Amino acid sequence: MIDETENELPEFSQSAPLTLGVELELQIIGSQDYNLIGSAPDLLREMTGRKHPGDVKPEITDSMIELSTDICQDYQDALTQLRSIRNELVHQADRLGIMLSGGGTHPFQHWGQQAIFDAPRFHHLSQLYGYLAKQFTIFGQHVHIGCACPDQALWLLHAFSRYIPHLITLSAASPFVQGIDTGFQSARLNSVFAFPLSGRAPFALSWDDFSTYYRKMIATGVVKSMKDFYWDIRPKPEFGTIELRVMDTPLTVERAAQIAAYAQALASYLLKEKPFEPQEDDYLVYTYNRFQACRFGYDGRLVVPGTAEQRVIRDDILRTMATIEMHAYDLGSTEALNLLRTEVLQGRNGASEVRAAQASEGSLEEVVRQGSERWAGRLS
Amino acid sequence: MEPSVFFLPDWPPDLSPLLWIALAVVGAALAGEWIRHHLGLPRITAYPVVGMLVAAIAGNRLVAEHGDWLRTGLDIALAILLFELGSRVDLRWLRHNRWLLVTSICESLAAFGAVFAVSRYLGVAITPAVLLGAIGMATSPAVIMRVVAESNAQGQVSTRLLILTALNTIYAVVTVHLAMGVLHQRYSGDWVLAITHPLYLLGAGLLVGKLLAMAVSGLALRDEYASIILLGLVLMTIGLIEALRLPVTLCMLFAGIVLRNGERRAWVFPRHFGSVGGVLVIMLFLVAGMQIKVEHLFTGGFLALVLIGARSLAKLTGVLLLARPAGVSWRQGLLLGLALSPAAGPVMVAAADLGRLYPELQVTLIPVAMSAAAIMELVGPVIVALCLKWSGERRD
Repeated sequence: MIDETENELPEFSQSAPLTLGVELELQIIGSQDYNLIGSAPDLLREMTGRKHPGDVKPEITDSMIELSTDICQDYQDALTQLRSIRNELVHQADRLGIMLSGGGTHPFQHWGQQAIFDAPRFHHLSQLYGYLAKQFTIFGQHVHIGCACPDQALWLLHAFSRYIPHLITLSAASPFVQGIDTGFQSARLNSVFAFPLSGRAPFALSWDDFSTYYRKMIATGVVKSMKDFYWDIRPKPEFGTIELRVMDTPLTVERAAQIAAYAQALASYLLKEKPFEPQEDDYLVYTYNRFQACRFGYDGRLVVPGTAEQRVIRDDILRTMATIEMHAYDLGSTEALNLLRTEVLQGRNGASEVRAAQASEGSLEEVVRQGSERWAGRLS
Repeated sequence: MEPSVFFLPDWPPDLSPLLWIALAVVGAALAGEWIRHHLGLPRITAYPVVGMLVAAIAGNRLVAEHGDWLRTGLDIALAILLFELGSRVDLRWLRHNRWLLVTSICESLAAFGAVFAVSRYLGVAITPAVLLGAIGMATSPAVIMRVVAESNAQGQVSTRLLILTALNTIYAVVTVHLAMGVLHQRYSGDWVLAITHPLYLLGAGLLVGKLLAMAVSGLALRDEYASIILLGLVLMTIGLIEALRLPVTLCMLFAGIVLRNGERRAWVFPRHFGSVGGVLVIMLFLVAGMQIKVEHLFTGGFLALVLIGARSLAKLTGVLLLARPAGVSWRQGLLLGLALSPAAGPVMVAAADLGRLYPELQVTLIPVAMSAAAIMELVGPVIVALCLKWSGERRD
């Protein structure tokens, strides 16, 4: 897996359009000091043989674990699956005397103390990236959206780029890093940007062009497979999906399902109504918009691609929600959209909740404890 | 001979035992650093060895002459240590994982049975054999706390090691007090007394624990300077405990447990509190070493090994049987079971007490118990350190 270079892109699998898949990277926390604890091997061992939908996998450091759903048809399906996996994971964590939590960063862990999970790929990444690999102890939500064909996938990928600030703002849950309030809503993404192959995918709207780009990159020796690209959105040919990767892991599975539903309704709107054609020039404002979302969340200002119009991110989200309402209705996610809208109107996301907890408790340990209770569904 | 000048000391100068003890402390601390740096062993392995050497050179009178203040120092060291150990016990975990509680009861009962059986085989009467069995249940909190802290270990083996040690120490203290009551024929057929005694121990112990916990969490002890307040509080508690005729061990463990579990809010034992006790711990192990008598090792060494073997095997079996239902791998179960083997320091104290009560035991039991304690004092920390290393939880 490490030395094998995948010279050709895998065949783009067929998948039913607008189906969903959700992946969540979770924090494993010790109940002695509320810091990250390297218990992924214990948790994985106790999870083997337990019945639950989806899958549970190791991540790069052994204080992280990733859960993923099977293919979901809609919001309710995703929510049910996520709750079911969450319950089994929490049950096993309780048996082990450890805790699990959402959120994009652990508020006070020091990356130097993390250990790399014992698997060849992770050791390879650790060797290549050095401390960056350990600093990659950050926790994201990935949403897969099924696409009928590869060209559709690439079209959707680039059309989605202008909504990246929405996804960042709605999911942002990483204000604290190494014990410090960063002032960011999603400080997690700053760690991702440190990687040389992060950012946006190259502007290619046909699978042939994309394959050409991929072959050139392989020939340079810089990458060995699609896994080496840390793009915000990337095609996943094996699944026949595009993968949205900018979200922080939200504080609850409910929020994660709502965000997935929002992305699904947005994809439906884009694919069916084709409101605009994606352009390379859309990316002129891309990093600026993304920064505004990471830093200021709802209050950030984004520039609408193709115009010089500035909008407050909150207003842009509300406007988009109104536009895609019928698509959400058709997909059965009106409830999700309404719940999210309430949050937007109240200016609330994971980051504001974490900050509020720290303001009222004055102890990051207590913030972590409450976070794990909230993740377990034991705190409203 | 009269000194020629009145303000000059006698020749040869009269070296007080205090000087020897201070020398031993410095020597032990240096030896601890050396052993850690060069052999990778826990520092506390060196302390009893140095204590043994100093006692061999300076003679027995060292401890005897300074018994009082040494004892106070040791009580404080132990009290802070047990307070911290108690604060590591998460009762919620025991609720979620009943098998962990069952494991704790199993390994303690097994150890009790093993020590009781071997003592009976050695010809000890039933009541003192019960007493020994009870002492045999406890894993040395001092050894476990220090080695876990020193190797900065975190994970299933080390966390369970702490919680099982806290629990088996509680069982042991309560059983010992009951056995002592029977031994001294205090109950003399009065069942009300026999029942109210443990209730008093637990109830009053819990109350004192609650008081200390309230004081500590109420005063919000934040920085190093607050350590002196903690020290004062612990001293006051020890005074209170003595006035109420309660065991220090029990009360301090309870105080820690109440502090941790009393409210839902996150509470982390401040690192600097541990360092106050950490220095005193040198004394604890040093004095334990001073009490080791080499001649006991020769007379009772073999039977002591049998006793240790039986007890360790019992603990290991108790843990290993329930490893999978309790949620650890076989390997972790094995290491956890082995790491529980260090015996408690009180073995020596109790054995000495018994020896005074029953002079006939002087020949049979005392050398065996004393050398068993000595062997575990020396080997225990090494076993725990190795188990933590093999479990992959050490992070130094």
